[in-house]
Amino acid sequence: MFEMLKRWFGGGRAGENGAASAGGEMISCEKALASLYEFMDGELDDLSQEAVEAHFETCARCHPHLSVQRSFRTRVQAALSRPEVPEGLRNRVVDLLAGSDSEI
Amino acid sequence: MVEDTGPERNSFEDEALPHLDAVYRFALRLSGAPDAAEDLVQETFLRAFRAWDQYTPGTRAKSWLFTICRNVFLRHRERGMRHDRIVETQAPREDTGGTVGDVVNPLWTSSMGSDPEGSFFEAIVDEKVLEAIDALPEEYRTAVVLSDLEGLAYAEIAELMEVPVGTVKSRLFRGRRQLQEVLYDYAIEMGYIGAREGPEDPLRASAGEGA
Repeated sequence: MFEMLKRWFGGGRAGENGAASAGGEMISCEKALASLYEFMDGELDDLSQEAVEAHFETCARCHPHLSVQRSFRTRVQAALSRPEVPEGLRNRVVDLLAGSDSEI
Repeated sequence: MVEDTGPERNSFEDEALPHLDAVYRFALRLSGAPDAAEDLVQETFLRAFRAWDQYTPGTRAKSWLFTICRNVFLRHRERGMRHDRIVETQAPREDTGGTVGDVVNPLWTSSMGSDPEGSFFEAIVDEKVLEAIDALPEEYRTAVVLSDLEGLAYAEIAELMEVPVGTVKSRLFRGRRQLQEVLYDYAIEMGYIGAREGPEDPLRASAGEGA
């Protein structure tokens, strides 16, 4: 944890203006942050996806935003998948369809 | 087609029924209560079964079922038959425009120093998270559930909700933002996030920004 913080905030890899490069393409912090959800949702084309990823990996200023959003999503996903499906629901549906079958 | 319901029945069981759990979880978030969700699932599958000849094989049966499920839900709600335990907020009318690009939540600038990973989310119990999701306007809630739980593409969600992709983006943005704000406030209240260092509170400072 400490090491990561040091890496983020200790300057270093991140470009002077927070710009990072991926395959030669430089994108700004502004652009990376604006694409954050599209990046996380896998909605960017391969090239942009790579560029945004490279930015977040190397930019100390932006990286925490990705971490927070990932942590948020993990939490939401877990909560949404928690509810148990009622026992017997499947059978009730199958019966319902069978009944509707013979009605027709 | 003809009277031959046997093979049709089989393909429905193969293609549609495996999505029962997913449809139930979606229905549960739409309706907010297990009983209502069960009813919704049964009606969804019955309608899907009866309209099975309109389903294009090879397309996503799951999306198709979600579409039916939501339409059934909305129709019931219109008729005021909603089993309603949810206090749902209303989505602002103009939900296409706005500040979609502005992903940086002013919230984080205050907590990031002490919690750069956003690990406070882990401390929040499921019930609280679900309660916050259920309080979202339906338009936001549906988008968030379909994206974050089901991993549907924006284009699929757009088709399902019959809105442009840009609107989906906007709904996801707003829904997630609203959720984060509620959960953040809760985390502060519960002491999962320590007292903030600076005197300024970006969230409060920008309160009423109309996001």
